[in-house]
Amino acid sequence: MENQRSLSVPIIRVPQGRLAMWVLIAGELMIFGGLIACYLLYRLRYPEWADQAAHTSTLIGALNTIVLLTSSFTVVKAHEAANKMDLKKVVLWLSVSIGGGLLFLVNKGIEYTTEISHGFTFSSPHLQAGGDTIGSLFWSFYFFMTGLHGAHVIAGMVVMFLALLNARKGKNLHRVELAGMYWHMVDLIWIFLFPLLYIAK
Amino acid sequence: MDTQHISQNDAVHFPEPATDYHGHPNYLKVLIFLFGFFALSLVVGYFPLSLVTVIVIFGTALYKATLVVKNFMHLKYEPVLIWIAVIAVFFCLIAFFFGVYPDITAAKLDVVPR
Repeated sequence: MENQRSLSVPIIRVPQGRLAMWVLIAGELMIFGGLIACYLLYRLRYPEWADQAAHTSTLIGALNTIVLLTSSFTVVKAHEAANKMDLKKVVLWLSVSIGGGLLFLVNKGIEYTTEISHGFTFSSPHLQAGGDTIGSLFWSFYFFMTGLHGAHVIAGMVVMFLALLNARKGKNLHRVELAGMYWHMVDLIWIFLFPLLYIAK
Repeated sequence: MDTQHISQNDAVHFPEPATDYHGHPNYLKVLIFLFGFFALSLVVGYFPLSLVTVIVIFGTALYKATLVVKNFMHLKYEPVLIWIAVIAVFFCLIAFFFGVYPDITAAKLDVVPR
């Protein structure tokens, strides 16, 4: 009787890869969440950070949001295609997703170039020289958070490329989903970075 | 593996490389919602910063994150233990935020003079 009752509950065994990916994502969220929490606390303490945040480009930030949201969609379409064993579509959708990552980095490069050319760097010496150490702290946060996120974008592109190479041969198609999960996490972090650094000025 | 022949009672799933134990929602619909909320937050961002605008901006961000996690990352199909693992992260972050709050907002900092 007891045995019958226990059988009536559906058991879902999460594949090891997915489970490991969830653990990794939880860890990554702790890292970025801690950074974001610190940023919020300093932003509350120093309202004058708004003057520095006014220099970030909302246009480029918005473009990058569109790029990341779209590439999140394309990578999940790759996963859907992998379930249907449609290898051509898997390769196509993954290529588009990698292209999205590349476009994100190009936009980021343009944005960094503009900011650095205006003297806003990790330590912003011209602000420190003028006694604005608090303003300088904003840029330290900005470059660290966006730089770390950029490094994750590159890592996500590498992972998707490896999944693409496998998919071309029809091997290890479950990796398409795992690469996709990582890419969604990159998107997820940006969803919070964008309003913090580009909108709520 | 033909999953059609697995009944609900013995639903121990053994996913093959190209099969899933979870479903696939309408991804295009999710993307449209994401763009809609993104546009809303962008428009609100051009209003003067107030409590209402901050709530809308970060509320939409939170909702967008929920849409991505539930639909794109398929959390809604995962067992409860995965939910607990993810939600625990947010509890840790809230504890961290309020634990550090007095240190940063109230205490005098020598590192960054005002």
